[in-house]
Amino acid sequence: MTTLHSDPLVADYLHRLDGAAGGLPAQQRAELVAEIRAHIDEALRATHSTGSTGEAAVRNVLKRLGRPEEIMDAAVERTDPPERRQVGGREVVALLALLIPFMGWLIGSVLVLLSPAWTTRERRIGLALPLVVLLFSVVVSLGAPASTALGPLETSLIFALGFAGGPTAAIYLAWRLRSASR
Amino acid sequence: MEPGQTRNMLTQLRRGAVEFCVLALLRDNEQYGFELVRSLAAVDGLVTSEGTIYPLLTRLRRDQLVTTFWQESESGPPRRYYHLTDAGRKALTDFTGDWARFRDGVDTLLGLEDRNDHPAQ
Repeated sequence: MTTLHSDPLVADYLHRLDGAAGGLPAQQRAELVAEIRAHIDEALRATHSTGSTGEAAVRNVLKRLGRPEEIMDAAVERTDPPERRQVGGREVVALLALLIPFMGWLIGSVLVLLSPAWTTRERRIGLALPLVVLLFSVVVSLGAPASTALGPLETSLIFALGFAGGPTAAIYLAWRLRSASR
Repeated sequence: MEPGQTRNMLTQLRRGAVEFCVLALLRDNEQYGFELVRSLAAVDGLVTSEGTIYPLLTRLRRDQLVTTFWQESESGPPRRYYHLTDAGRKALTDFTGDWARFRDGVDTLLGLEDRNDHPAQ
């Protein structure tokens, strides 16, 4: 997203705005910066036509817009899930499903994705856990016979631990439900 | 309640009312972002930071209370115009009724209204 502008004050403002918007999805951030930029240009065109130009006019427009942090606060609070999470049957079923490998992970993942009770970041972590843990344990246990340190019992144990990802994800997501959304 | 807290309450009230003020501005005609923002800013005490209106507009769009379209402008780049949807119109009507009742009730309690002017609800 371009924050360049012919006026250095405006460019700095847009840059700060873009920086403060880290919590927003990329598309939303780009859109907001573009809208603010269009507003500034429109406002400056208006002041230009009334004869008032220069730094004072620019500062006035930016002052009326407000601090980038204020604008970002307004944007963020309107997109995140509400403070109190709505936990219902669907969420319980999702968590229970995650305890069951493969089929359960699939069903649980779909339910987690559909539920508004978790933030995007929480969903990503929760859904990645079972797969990552399984992948890790498979890699380690396949490579283990080559090393003399691990016998077949230990290798099997490591492989079994691969299925711990699902319960771990369920515990993580359940724990997140108990905290406020932000 | 401490004196300082009334400021906070006012902020909450503003936040709740501003979106319906936007819908009201769109009731009779379509307007583009800058126009809307400046109309709101002209009302004393309604908007403290003009930039915060834009996230509000995005949310109204997302909630399908308004739709938008682009239109060329002679003086610069195309502008995004806002248009009230049927759902938006209904939300506005509902709020107008709620607000009138709320306002009248509070005014009466605060002693700002003459009780005799309003029959019992």
